[in-house]
Amino acid sequence: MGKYFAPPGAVAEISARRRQKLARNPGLGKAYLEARRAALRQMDALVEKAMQTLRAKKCEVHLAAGAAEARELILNLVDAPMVVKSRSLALEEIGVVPALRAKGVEVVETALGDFVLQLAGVLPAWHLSEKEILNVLKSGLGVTGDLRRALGGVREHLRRYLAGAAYGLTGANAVVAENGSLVIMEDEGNARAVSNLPHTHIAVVGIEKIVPDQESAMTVCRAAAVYGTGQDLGNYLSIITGPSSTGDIQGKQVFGMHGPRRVIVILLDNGRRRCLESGFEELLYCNNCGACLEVCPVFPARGPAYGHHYPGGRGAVFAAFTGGIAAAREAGLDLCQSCGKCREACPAGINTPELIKRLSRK
Amino acid sequence: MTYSQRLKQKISEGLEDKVSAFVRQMVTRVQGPVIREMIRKFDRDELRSVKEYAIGHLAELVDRSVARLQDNGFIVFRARTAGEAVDYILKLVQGGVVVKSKSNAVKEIGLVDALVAAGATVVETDLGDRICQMGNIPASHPIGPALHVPVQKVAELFAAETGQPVPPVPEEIVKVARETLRQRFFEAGVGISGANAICADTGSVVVMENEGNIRCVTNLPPVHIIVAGIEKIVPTLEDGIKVARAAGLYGMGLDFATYVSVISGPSRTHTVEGRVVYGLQGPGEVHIVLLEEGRWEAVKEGFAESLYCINCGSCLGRCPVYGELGERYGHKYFGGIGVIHAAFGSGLDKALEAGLPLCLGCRKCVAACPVRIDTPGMIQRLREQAVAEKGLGRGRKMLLGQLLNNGSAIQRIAPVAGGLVCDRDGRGGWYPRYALFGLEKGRRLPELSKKSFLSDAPRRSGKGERKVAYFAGCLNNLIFPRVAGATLRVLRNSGVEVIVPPGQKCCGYPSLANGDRDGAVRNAIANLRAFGDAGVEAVVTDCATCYSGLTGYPELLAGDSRWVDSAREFAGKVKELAQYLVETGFQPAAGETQRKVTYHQPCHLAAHGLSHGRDLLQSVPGLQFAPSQLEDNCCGFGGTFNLDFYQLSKTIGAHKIQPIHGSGAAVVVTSCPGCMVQLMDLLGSGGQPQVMHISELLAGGGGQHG
Ligand code: SF4
Ligand code: SF4
Repeated sequence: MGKYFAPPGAVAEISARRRQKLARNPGLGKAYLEARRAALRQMDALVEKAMQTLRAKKCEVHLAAGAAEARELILNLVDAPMVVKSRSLALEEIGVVPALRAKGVEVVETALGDFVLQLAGVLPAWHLSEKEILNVLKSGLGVTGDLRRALGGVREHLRRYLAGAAYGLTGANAVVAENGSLVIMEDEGNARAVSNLPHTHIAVVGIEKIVPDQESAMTVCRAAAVYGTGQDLGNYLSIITGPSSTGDIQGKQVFGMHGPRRVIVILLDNGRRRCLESGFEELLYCNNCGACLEVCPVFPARGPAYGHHYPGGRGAVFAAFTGGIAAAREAGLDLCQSCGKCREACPAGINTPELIKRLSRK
Repeated sequence: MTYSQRLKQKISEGLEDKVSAFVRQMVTRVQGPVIREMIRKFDRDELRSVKEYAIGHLAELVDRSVARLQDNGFIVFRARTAGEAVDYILKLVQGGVVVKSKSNAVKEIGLVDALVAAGATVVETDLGDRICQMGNIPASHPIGPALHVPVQKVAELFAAETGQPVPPVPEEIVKVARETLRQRFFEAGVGISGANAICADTGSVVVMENEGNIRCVTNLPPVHIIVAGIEKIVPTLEDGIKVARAAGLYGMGLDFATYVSVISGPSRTHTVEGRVVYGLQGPGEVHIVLLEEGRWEAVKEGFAESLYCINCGSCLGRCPVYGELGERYGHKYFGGIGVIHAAFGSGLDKALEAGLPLCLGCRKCVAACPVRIDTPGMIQRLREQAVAEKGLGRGRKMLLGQLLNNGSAIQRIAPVAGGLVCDRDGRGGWYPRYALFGLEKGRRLPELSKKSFLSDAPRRSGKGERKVAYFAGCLNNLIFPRVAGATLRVLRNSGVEVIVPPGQKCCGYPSLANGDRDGAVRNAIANLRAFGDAGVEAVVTDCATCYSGLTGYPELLAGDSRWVDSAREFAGKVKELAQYLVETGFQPAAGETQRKVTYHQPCHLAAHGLSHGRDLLQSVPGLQFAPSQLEDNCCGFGGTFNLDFYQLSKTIGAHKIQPIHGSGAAVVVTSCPGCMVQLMDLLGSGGQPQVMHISELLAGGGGQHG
């Protein structure tokens, strides 16, 4: 069931929208690349700074060297039978979902697509047709009617989990070093709920996502939206700077007013520094927009077999830094046809075939 | 009741409401220094240019953002008036629970009452607002509306709401509030919010907060309605972030508010078929009501600057009038900027009732504003309109036109008339025996001098390379010739030749402050004539208010081609006494060394960034300088403000007394005869500490130019 990637119709739709947005904002790719480069050039300093400002904003901050460390942190934190989560590649990268489930914790996906897949028990797949979605919802939740009504049913169903969860797990599109902010972009509003309703919000973010200031974060988000879904901006951008608080009773600051009283940020290295140090900085320019996947001749056929956590050729290269060259081969390093189409599609012009070649030579 | 009676009533209510005034002032005392520290690096010019551009291109930006917002799936309604906005929303909301977050625009259109009348249950979700709503308690502060409510009372309110005992502990109350409001969020059919900014390029709405209630209001109910004035539109997403940053900094003293949310349409997802479907975890329907009400009129009548306001509330924290009266100063929007808003939203009479006559012109709000909005300047122009419509009033005309400008008349009448109705305290003070001529009983008036300064001032005195002209001003002329004399002595003794041009008049500031522009122009021209060919390097004044008045001539005469050039040249030469002395390298020789001295900084110098008086004092050899807290707080004098609103004036000034006594000083020195009048009244006949003009202190000790 399902397709690894959207059928040509949807792709055409997205690229038409993208062309229109880029015509209005032709410098976006370049601005994005510059913002990323500037940030990576001072990565160590930014990590330092972000840890300091996040803490100043009363977030609990951890710097995890590897996936296992990050995973353990979360496993030790979560002392509830159920957690809610929104889509995040960093969460997939550390494998926290299977680990939580193994511990007996129910993990509830809140993005529609992920939720439906979870309901159908097919993992991992990428995109279901509307009809397939309706079928799953009918058999899984017993909701009937058209998509709109069915979505109402999903909303109600997930609300119960969102209202009851003590922990919410998310990734982030950026961390802003100057203010200690997390920036999360999405379309559905589920990430807002996950990061606002439970009393503890846990965010896992790769250290390459740290940018110096809000302006750079906006550039990152604009690029992710235009190249990812062909929108000017994702529907919801949440800039979160510390836990929820109020000072309305006699001026005393109390945490956990309407949002979480604890915000835990796990900054994830997991091979990123190594990547930078061994001359593969380019790999970290990736914004996970997926524009490259649309044009890759290999990806639609192979799907999750091409890449590792991060889909496609770029994911295969990154696997080398988290699991060594064998892992990269396992992730399909040799499948690349060197057509270079991904490079043209990428806002940062990441030259994946070249990276693959260099890696293979190593 | 006339507007002025209603205003008087609001003032007396405000003056009685001491608890909420205390809270406002306490918040300013605690938060003020934090904010001042944080905003150091903020680029006000950048934000101002964003707003200048946005309001300068408003029509175009409105069209562009409407198109983008619609592209994004917002349902946009352009409301010409508040009534239209309310009607539109009433069609959307048929009863049920409505959750709302803090919004000035929602307040402006009176939406809550209309919704309640239509049968809806409207629930405030900001904790402070909710407390006020539950207890039906008026707000005391724009950001912390319930700060004046004791924790015991808050606990009782929530206990009544839940039917369970609630301990009077903030942490426990917050838990209960979170739970009860959560239920409301889930059951609500509609969420209503305002917007901090609307970004035209991405078609997005920016909202900011610390509690997370706005995130709930805008995410949990199936329908979200945003109400925002068109002045909230800025060109880009980045500009919207700038606005949010400024509002966090200036309004809350945070480098970034806890939650800044950028919303670009209804909750949605894209299916593989390329379709967009709406209403996942967020609302499937988002309306945005763009409110025009009064905004175009403001632009048309030359008050576009009032639309630069981002509603951060920073000005309120510094405004002495707001500090006492709170929300009674303003109408829907508060403080001086709120008065201006009232003029265009509800007309001049409403503005008068909202407090148009109350602004002291202290310019504290301008200094505090992230956009540097010239609120007192706009208020002054509105007063001109009011005078044009309603006239100046006979008494005021006489005071400004005759008495201040014609010393001899007042001098002839005053000693006789004054003696009949006043007691003297033998220290140059008069106490009215009856409440006469608007002068209240119990106040201390300075005795008018028997002879005005100008009637026998030396036309030319002193010798030296430097040559200046002296501008005396009304108060020195009529009440403190001794100050004027001391100023001449200081200048002469330090080797400066001083001329006192005859024919000089009142600087015109009092006329302008009363909305009598013509009178101010007449005085300005008379003074330009008097000082025209003096051939001096500087025009020195020892009155802070006159400094403001005189340096304002180029603007005052901007439209008069015959005078504008000389006004510019003249204004370029105007120096405040201490400024002149410091800039010419004056070294005070010796001065008061026996008694401790403190300083009061006049608003009219602070507004121009002049602090030479204090510097000069500290350079007097052997002088024991005792700084007092709130040194640059307004004394509350405000010229005719003090005659019109004596109790308010005195209440504002009273805050200075404690710190002045606290400094342990025996002498309080200032650089403005207006402030002297007020301080002498406030400190009373005890004469402790003694009030002195800086020139009096310096004249005692002499000094030299280096
Ligand atoms: S000038 Fe002073 S009194 Fe007038 S509005 Fe501004 S702060 Fe208030
Ligand atoms: S006028 Fe007042 S509320 Fe408006 S932006 Fe300036 S300081 Fe803020």
